[in-house]
Amino acid sequence: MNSELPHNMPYRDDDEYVSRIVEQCTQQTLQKQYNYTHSKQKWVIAASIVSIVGCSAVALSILFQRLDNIKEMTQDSPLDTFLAELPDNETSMLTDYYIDDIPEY
Amino acid sequence: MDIIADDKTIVQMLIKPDLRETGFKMLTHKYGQRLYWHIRRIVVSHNDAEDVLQNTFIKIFSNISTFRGDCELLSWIYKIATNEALHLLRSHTRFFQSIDTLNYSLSEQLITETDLPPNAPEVLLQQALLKLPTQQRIAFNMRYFDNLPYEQIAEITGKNIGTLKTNYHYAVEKIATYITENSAL
Repeated sequence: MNSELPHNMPYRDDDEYVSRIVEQCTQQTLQKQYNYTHSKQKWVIAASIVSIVGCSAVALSILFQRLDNIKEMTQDSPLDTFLAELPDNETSMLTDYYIDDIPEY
Repeated sequence: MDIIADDKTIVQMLIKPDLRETGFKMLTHKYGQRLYWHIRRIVVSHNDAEDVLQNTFIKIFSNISTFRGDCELLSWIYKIATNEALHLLRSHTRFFQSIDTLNYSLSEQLITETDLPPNAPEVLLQQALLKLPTQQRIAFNMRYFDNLPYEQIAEITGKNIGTLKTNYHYAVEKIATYITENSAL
């Protein structure tokens, strides 16, 4: 059968024409891949920036939170609270006592 | 691009980022036309063949790192091209419709894309092929037009060699009958 029937296709497209089509498709593929890679790179850079900014913001907020806690702890120490609740005269007495009680060497 | 490298070199080039583009151009230079005709025989329309060729190239370029070399490069790219062509044909069908139902419209498409008279041997052969089930037609094309060995066609289609040989034999009989009946018209 192979010798009786034609092996060529019934279209007018010659080799040169098909070669051009193949070349065109090759160029388009390379261009698409280039665009895809670059847009992917842009996304990676953007995502990195967002991550860095996000992480920094979280770290800073944790830091500020800690500082606030330290400040609150310092302000609300038991001695301060105790002294704050005492009447003025008692406070001075106590302070005086402490100061007077310190021996001098 | 007149250098035709062997498949192993092309694959190695495609894997290396700095040689990828050159490797890809070599691959398309070596197999591009064959791929185009393989696709065109399945989808018939030139515009569809061009789209499928483009998608095939993109798939090859994007997935070359997954090519393990268990089969020949030609088999791998033919498999991608065949799948892409079948995917396009499926997109032309409705839900649950077989792609074989497209054969009539493909046959009409063939007439519009040729300058030859309907009883020209080339046209009659293609018309006869479009009477075959799609999978059988693809296997026949690869054996008859591309001269691929049955082992390679089996790799591409995933079919048994014995089945392919039987299908080819029946396809030849059907084609001969069709041409005998229609060439005198």
